[in-house]
Amino acid sequence: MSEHGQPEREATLPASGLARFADSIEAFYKPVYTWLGYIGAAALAALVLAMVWSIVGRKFFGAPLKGSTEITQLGLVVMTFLVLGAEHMGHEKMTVDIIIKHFPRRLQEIIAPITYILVIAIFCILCWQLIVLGITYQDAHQTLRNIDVKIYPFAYLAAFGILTMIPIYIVRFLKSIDRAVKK
Amino acid sequence: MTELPLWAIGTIGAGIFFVLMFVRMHVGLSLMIAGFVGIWLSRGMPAALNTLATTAWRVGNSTYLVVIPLFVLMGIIAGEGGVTARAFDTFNRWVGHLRGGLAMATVGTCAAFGAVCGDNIATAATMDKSALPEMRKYGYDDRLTFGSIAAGGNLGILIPPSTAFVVFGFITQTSIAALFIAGILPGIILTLMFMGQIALQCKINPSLSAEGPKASWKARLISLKGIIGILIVFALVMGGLLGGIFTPTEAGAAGTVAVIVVSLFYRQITFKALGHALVESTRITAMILLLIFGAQYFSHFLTTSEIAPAISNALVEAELSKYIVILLVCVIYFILGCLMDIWSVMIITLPIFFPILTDMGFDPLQLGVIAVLCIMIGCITPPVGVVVFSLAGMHKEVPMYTIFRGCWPFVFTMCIFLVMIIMLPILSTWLPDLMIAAR
Repeated sequence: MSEHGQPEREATLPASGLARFADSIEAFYKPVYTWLGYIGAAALAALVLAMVWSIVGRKFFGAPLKGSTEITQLGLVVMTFLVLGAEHMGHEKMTVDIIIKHFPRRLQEIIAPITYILVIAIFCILCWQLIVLGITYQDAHQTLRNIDVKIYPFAYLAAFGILTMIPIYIVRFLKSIDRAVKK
Repeated sequence: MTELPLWAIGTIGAGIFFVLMFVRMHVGLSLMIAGFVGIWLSRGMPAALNTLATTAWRVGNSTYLVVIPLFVLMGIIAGEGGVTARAFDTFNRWVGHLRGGLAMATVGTCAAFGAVCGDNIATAATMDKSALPEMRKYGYDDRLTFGSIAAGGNLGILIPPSTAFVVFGFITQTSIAALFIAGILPGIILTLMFMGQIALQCKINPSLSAEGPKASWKARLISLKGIIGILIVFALVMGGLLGGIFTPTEAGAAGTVAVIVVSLFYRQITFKALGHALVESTRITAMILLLIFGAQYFSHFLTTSEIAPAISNALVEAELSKYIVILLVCVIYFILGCLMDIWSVMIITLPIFFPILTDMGFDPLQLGVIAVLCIMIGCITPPVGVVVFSLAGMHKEVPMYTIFRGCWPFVFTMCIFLVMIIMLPILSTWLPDLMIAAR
């Protein structure tokens, strides 16, 4: 796990147009992700309540919550995909810098934007494919097995969750370009 | 689709993964991109596109994985709700007067807290708040202080409920309830071994610690009420699971509610803390699931390439003893654990190693405990010891080197224990067998 090493002298340089543009995107999405994080947290709270309802209903009233397993599964979709953006904000996690930190700084600054472009590309593909999956579910009128809840909105929501991660990597890409250009 | 042989495509895919990971791309995303290219080359673009979305969807609404946020939430609420602080007080009264007693109390509390928390980082971070001030007050050496918190925190993923067992169960399709039970006895034994090791360390080097005040027997007995909360929650969760009353997901939800009730009883939980716990749990879940998604997609590619069967065949043709093979696997884990996060290592390699090892006669539950022990070791050894990183992040004044040095005796103990688990499968299988027979 690591954070991207920022060149120390960068702080003394005036912010370029590119950096300011990146900052403005960041300023826009930060509160959005905070709110998406709250929605994810609310989904988790609802999931806990649904499970408790299911247990109490089954054990004491002989009437468990219908489709509780599927409800929890969809709850996981909501909380995971909506929170991905919030989780990705800030410094980068789950990265390995044991080798790249020994590379010349110039080379690191050339590599960084390339990796961000690749990530943006894979997220775009994933988002597109989740929309395609949603369309398939919608066309097939697919619902949950035990309750009459349509699945396709959740596939679209998953696509939206992936979409929310793209601006983060666009900002990282712009900032990495800015760093490389400043040299 | 290309005309390249599958082994060549497998090598290209694996190569792309390592290159991307080592140029500091998120491990889960490196796996995703490498898997995408690999499936594209081996089965064509439509297959690569289709499996990308279906894998994401399958991981995102998995029945297995839905327990992760619940057990993480349970732990965070328990930490915020004063459950840990009371448990630490109990252990402190019983062993705090011994040389190294506070470190032993820390390990004991971590084990107890592990019974309500499924995450090792959350366990270590919570213990840090309770144990660190006490150990500093009595002049404990930073190496022992942080070593005991980091290693003890690791018990959070061995003692059920455990997110590590959930992930293992998801990847290998092993019963989560059985894995949870399998972790109990090893968790207790390792806790006692850690305590013994601390006593030995302090005997050899008395400057590491000091003796605290001795509590009366009456005070000790009264202090036992401090662990009642944990016992209730643990009994509810594990009892419900073993008794077939709850599914693992329901056990997580029931445990969460029980922890909230206990915390309300202690009058330490606030709405703000609850909100924070919910947000934090979803974030940890999102982080783990993205990693699992990447790994699942990549392992989908591996099954289509010839890499996995090639490794398997090489091991079979070598006609090695099963103990040599498992030791080799552990060595591979330690080496890979030096290069990347051990969670990633497990998620990537389990689909390859698990079938080989079970074919050789290893019990899936025993393998689960071995895998979790390897994760535990990886979490406190350099260069990517995540538990150590989290503690170092909270205490900038303490060099990371000091914490890693403090962890080495615990790593040594864990290595001995790992050998015990490998040689004595009964340690992992006896309790599950007993429980299943009783049912």
